[in-house]
Amino acid sequence: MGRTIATFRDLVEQEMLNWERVFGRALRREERTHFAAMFNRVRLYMQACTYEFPVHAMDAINVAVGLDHEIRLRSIEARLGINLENQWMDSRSLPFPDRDDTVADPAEPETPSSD
Amino acid sequence: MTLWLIQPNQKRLRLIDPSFHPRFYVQGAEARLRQLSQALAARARAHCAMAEKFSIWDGQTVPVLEVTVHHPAQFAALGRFVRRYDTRFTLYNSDLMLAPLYCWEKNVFPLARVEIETAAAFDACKTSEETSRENAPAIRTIECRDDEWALDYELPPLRTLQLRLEGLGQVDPRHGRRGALLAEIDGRQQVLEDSDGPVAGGVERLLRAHDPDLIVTEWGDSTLLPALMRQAQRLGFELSLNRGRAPVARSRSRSYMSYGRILYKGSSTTLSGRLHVDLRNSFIAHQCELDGLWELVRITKLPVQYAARTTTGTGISYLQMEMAYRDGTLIPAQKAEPETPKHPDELLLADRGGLVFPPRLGFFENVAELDFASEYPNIMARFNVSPETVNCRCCPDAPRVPELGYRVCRRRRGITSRVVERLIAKRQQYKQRVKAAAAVQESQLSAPAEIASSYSLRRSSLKWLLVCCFGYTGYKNARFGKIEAHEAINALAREKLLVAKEVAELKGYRVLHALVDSLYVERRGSTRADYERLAQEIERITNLPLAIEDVYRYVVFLPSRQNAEIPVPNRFFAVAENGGLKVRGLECRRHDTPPLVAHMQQQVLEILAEAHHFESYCAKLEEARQVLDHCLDRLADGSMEVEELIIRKRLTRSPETYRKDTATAIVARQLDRSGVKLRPGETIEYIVTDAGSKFPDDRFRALTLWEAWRGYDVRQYQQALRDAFKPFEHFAPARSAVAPASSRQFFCAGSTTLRS
Repeated sequence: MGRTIATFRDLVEQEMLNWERVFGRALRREERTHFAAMFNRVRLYMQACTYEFPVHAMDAINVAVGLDHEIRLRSIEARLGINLENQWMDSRSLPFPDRDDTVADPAEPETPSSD
Repeated sequence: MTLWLIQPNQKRLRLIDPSFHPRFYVQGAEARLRQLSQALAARARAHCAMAEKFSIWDGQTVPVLEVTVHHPAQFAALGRFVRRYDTRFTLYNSDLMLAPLYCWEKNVFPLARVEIETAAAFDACKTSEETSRENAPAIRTIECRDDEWALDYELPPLRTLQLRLEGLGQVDPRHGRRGALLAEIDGRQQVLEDSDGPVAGGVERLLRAHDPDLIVTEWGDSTLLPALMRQAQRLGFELSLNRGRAPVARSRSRSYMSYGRILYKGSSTTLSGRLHVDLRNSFIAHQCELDGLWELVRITKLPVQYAARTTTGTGISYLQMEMAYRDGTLIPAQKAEPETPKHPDELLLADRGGLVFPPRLGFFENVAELDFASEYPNIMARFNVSPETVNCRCCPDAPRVPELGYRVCRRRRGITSRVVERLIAKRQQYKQRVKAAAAVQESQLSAPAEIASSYSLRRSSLKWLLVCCFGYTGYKNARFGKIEAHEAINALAREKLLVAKEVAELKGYRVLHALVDSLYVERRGSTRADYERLAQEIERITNLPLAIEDVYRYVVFLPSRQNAEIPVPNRFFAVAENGGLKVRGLECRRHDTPPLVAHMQQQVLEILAEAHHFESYCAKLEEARQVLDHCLDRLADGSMEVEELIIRKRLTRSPETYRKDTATAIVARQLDRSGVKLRPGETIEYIVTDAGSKFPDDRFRALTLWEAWRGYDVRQYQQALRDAFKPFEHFAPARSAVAPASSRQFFCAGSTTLRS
């Protein structure tokens, strides 16, 4: 209970530091703020993580992060009065954009003839 | 065994009971045991015989050598001799304290009313001093006329002498505080000062004139009594602290680690023929006053002076050992039950504590707190969880503990379960008495406030025993400890909390917060009766007693100080229906908060307690801001008393080993330079004088070295006040016109405005 086995709170801290070292180094400054916030919000579901206590802490952290996003997304939907559920279930591809400047890889110009 | 008694005619007697012959047991090879009995017979007056006793772990009988020691003074020495004689021997009952052992043997307990018959007539007119200086009469029979489990009992008429230093009681006099000695006996107070003659002489006169049975002091263990004895020695006389010629017993102070913190245990000064209780060196007397101490002593049968200075864990150990002694079960001299080997996965599952649901942040109205009453002890009692019953060998098909799969014995009732059962029952009876006394008080038939307070203190002392009871199952040195029992209790507690949450949610309640054994729930429009019904339903399903701790008009759950998004358990304040306050995690609950800040928060909370909902809360907040402003003004104009500014911190290391110039390090070094020997774990007090100074020594000043001309850092204390006010306005609209932050200023206190 915190002596033999680290508490889940400690494990979240450890995982955050581990991921911050390499993964975090390659993030932009503005992204790093969200990175820390994402790990911090795992603490909202600490009781479930502790109760589950998987061998790999990241398993529970991933579920907690996903759950948090789900809850917040639903909350935003409710506030905006929209429901994205139908769109998720729609398997048709999204309409192709009209403007060609949005295409990431524009077609290469024709190679001028050598003569 | 020597006994001190008070006769109905107020005579104090010292009597000897020669019939007490303590016993211990040795397990080993039969041939070696025979050799041992011959060796013991040659060494001392001891009687050895083979006997059959029960083993704690499997309940089976074990053949052991019973060694009956003729003279109790040789008991410990003979135990040590046997251990050295053959290290393969296992000893039982060999390292017990003699006083409780005598009580178990004779069915008596400290402070009990007894009836004795002596071998020869003695002169009852002699004073206690005279009887103590000659051969004391021998007791032939002793009969107890009292019951340690009784709720109403009469205590011996102890003559009490109180000794303390004038001034701040909480500051250790070894840190340089000086003041006159205040002595109080029979309701009369005297001030003893060296200017009127040596203080030791004055105390000696009081001792001789009143012959007190109990000396209650503040800092008597480490400072007062040793200093008085030194002064008496210098003046060429011996202070009659003891009744009799035995020297006063002293033990050294020590620092030790507990739950990751370093703590300090002061030295002790114990007396013979009298009792000495140092209120500043006694956890139980500090928490539950003398009423709690007497209750603890009667139940655990530990000597008063020992019980006052030891942890309550020792008390619960001795209760368990008494139960084992009466069952004829062997009490191991050392812990003999190691942890069962576990797979890492199992360890991950097993090594967990209670569940904590982080609170929903915000201001919530009409919230009920449902509390499992003494949950962990009740789990031990109701589910028979005791070290010897978990994973017993006799019940392979016993029901399993959830999550872990441990079995719990169905054939034997556990020792711990039986001990806590009695404690829970007595605590419950005290609770009813307190309620009854309060009802009588309300009806104004009489004023039993003192009785209710006494019941309440005794109940509180039982609570501390119960709290330790669970912890001791996992304590590495507990004789009846077994970590699996500890884990099983935690697993059951988690299961019960989850069931409670599920029931509450099924009934349409929202769980705002849950903390190991309590739940904060709300449902729009619910009444107290609804919450009562919910509590009954949870109690029925979990089979654990659950009650409404309180229904709150509102609760404010606050976030972490570091991150305003993240909730933290135990940082909230709540106002009950009757206006009562419950505060957790705010500055006013912390030990290192200056009284000024704590008092401000308390005053603000009292104002906010008048609110009933969010609108009135916001209105009251405006009123509360005036309290803050008033405190800020007092700081700025220098009318704040120095006592209000004291900050207390615990040393985590020796003064010379601090590397950085933290407040604690600076103050510890100041005290060290002035000749005060500080140990890790001790508490020091200081004033912030100029937190931004370039010179570390000017930043903070030890309270005992502080002088009025040094003043205090106005800005620092004002900032502490503003920070302490933030929790109240966290979920409320901010102040319309924010007062400008004061410029950097220091108040240089004059002796007319500040009391030193």
